Amino acid sequence: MASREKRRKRKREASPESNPTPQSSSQRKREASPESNPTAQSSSPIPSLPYDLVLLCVARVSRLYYPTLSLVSKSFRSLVSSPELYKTRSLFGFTESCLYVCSESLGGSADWYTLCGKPDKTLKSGSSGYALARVPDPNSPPSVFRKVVVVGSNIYNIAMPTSLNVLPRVSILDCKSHTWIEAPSLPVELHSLSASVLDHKIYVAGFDHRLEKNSFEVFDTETRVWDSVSSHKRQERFKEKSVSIDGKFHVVTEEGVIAYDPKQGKWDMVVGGMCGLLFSDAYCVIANVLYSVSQGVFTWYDTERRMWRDLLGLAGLPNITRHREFIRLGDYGGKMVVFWVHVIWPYYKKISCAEISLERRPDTSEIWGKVEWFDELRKINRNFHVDKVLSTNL
Amino acid sequence: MSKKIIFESSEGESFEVDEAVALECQTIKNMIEDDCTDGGIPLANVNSATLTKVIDYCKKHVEAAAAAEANAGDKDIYGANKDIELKTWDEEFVKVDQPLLFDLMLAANFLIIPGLLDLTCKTMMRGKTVLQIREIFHIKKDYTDAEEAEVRKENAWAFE
Repeated sequence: MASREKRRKRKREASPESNPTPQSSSQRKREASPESNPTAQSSSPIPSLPYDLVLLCVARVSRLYYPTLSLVSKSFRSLVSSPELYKTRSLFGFTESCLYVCSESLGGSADWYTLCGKPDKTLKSGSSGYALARVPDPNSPPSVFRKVVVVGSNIYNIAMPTSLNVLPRVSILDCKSHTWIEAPSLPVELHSLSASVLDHKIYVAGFDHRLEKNSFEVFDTETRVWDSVSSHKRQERFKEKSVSIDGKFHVVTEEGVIAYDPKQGKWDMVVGGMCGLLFSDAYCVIANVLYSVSQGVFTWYDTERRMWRDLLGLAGLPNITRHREFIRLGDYGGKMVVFWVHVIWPYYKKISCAEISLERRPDTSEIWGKVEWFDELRKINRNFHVDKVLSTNL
Repeated sequence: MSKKIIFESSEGESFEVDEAVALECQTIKNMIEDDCTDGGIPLANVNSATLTKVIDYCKKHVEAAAAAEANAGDKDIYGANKDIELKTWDEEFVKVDQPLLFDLMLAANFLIIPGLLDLTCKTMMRGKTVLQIREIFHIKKDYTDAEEAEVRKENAWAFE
């Protein structure tokens, strides 16, 4: 063993940081860095830890817990909505799917919620551990109704105007900071529409009731430019239902489903039973498979056999047929989420959710759903209903 | 016999570990490469209780990595089981009181042990109420009483 004296000497040379604050070197670096944002970094949310370390720490925590963190203090609230935090998450590969729910009132206003984890000590036995946290103050632009889609970490809100001769307004909810920014309005007036995303582009199929005319527009989310595409020559009126599967935009019309292939720039009639989508109460695409629920029965569309098939399994899922008008489906990182609403007349509504993992069995080409959990997540005002369930990547 | 590295905790207590275990810490790895570990490495920021846990963690992960390599030929269900076992071990490992967890996180950050940093950071903040987080990290409430009341009314689930 080396002598005490020698070791002491080594200590001074070898110890990477011999002072008691382990992060001091990076702190110095940070202060010296000209591009760092002084307002965001001015104070550390945890007094005993340097900002950089708190940032690293919070980046590793599941976003399910961010709503709680944002309530701790104002500096935590600004940390969990800071661009640097999301940069760090992305850099270290901590990004995850985050579920958003849009709840709309009859009057056209909308509230946004996000799925969050409840604190352990508040959990009762049998609880899923989830709740819906209200997204702080992102006032959705007012409109009669809206269509919303997700591209990356942004939710695009296409708002139908409340009066004629006004173009549908497009706003973007940045899910990192929960702030709205404006995007170019749709270039044409439409009175009904549906929207779906393919390859970072938003495709909008709509109908102008005054001109009795279909319209098909594409928004490139990278360049933020709208472009018109010729609609199908037969001009059957576009219904307000569309999905993107197999790299094509599918829209329901009065005569059936037609699909637009952006690579070839052409429309085709979709032969087979997909037009059953017209009778669907709710639908969504998960891992390029179209799922639908109608009268409480869950089905998926087999594109090879061109027919709807039952989603098997689902043991333990409560009977939600009675509330079918409120059912909504969503893709939550490859799993299905089902939302339904129970009306406690005349007081309020209860939002419930089930998460279902999906397994395709290659031998029989059946799809089985396993209910991971279901629970009541929140009470909402009785004038509201769950309009849309979206999952963003953050 | 493998080479030994000696750590010295903030209390001056010495801990002898295999070089392979010490290499789990990026900071120490750099020092070994620079050949400046003779006579032990003093860790003025890490107390004995924390250092004992850190060494346990590194040992377990070195063993698990060695076992995984030995079984690399038949990477089937067995490999998956090993992963689950290590995950369970990790979960048990961080079932400690908050001050120790906090010290472990600081040590993981200082010694650069990414796995342990992940584990401690995740554990420290998940599943806590707002009040628990304020208490653990000694954070003063900076909302006004009116703001706090509003926040609590809207988010009762996060308080209790």
